[in-house]
Amino acid sequence: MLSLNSPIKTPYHNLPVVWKLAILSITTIIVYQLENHLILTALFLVLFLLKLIPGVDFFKLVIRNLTPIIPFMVIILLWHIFTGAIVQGMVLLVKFMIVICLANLVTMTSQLDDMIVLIEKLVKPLRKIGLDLSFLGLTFGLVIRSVPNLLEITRRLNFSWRSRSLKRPTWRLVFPLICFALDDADHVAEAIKARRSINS
Amino acid sequence: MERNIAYIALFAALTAALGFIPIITLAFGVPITAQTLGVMLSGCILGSWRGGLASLLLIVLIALGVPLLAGGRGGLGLFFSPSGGFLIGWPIGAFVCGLIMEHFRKTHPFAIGLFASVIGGIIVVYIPGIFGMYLVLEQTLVHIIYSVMIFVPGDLIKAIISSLIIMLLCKYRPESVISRNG
Repeated sequence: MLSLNSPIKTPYHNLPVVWKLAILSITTIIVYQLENHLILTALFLVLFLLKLIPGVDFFKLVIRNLTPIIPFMVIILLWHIFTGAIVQGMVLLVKFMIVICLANLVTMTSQLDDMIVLIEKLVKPLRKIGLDLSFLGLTFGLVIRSVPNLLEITRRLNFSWRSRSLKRPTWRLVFPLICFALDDADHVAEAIKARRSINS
Repeated sequence: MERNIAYIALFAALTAALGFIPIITLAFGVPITAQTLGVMLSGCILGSWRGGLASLLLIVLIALGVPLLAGGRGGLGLFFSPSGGFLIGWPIGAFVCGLIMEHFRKTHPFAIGLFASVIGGIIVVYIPGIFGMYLVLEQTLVHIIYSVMIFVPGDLIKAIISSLIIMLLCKYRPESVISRNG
């Protein structure tokens, strides 16, 4: 399973994840308080330049990752044109673009492993109140490993359904898929138990 | 402990996998997917805290940039979009679904499954969803509530499917419905 991380290395990859998340949080709070068109436009242009600095290939990747939000931007703009609040709509769109583009930049330039290490560090103090979350890394790995597995099972179920019926399978595949997931969960639990007993 | 970890992880994965069933994107950029069916099922099958944690685990991975949301989307940007509130509502919704199932263990599985899915999987998920849209879109609450009504018929169908699956599980694999056994 791939992450949305950029394969093209940029200077932003070297920044610590915690800094990038802090910048994102602070910028989000500030941007939603701002109403000045000029400052918002300037911020947007700065962000645009930040995305251009690593090169054209990286910029193309940014655009590809942002494509899914374009239809929804268009709908918001049309809605504001329809309600006669064009200026308000434009300001809102620029705010969105700044926050979503910055969040996208953080996602693209932060390794999944670094993010997981950060989360594990953040939850470590919870041990003091008896909440041991040392298994977090394991559960992240289990989910990422299981999704392609479940998709393959869905494909096979779909194939076997179509070989027996002319109708589309629709929701009927969900029940056998859940049965498979439950069986798999039992096998995985046994495997974790075995591994822990070996390690301890 | 090991069993809980496995169930939580597998149901997070199952919810993600349900997102790869074809989707329809309606107004305001919020897509209708089978992933909310996964949220309902996680809560109704695993119970309150396991179901809630399964959905929480999924949204943490989405936030970390793993493309597990319908259509292969992921990343922090989603949490600032109009559907961000709905994502935050998933673990709360799954928790409430499980809580209802745990409190009415003797009730017919279809009836209680439907009730839990509607309350937890629709109403509870919609509250932060509507609030998130209200914060982001700067429109009136009434406007927002009207606009999300378009998703209700689809979600009601998912609630019916969820309750049918729970009924089938109670009939053929009763030991698997942890919320009614645990």
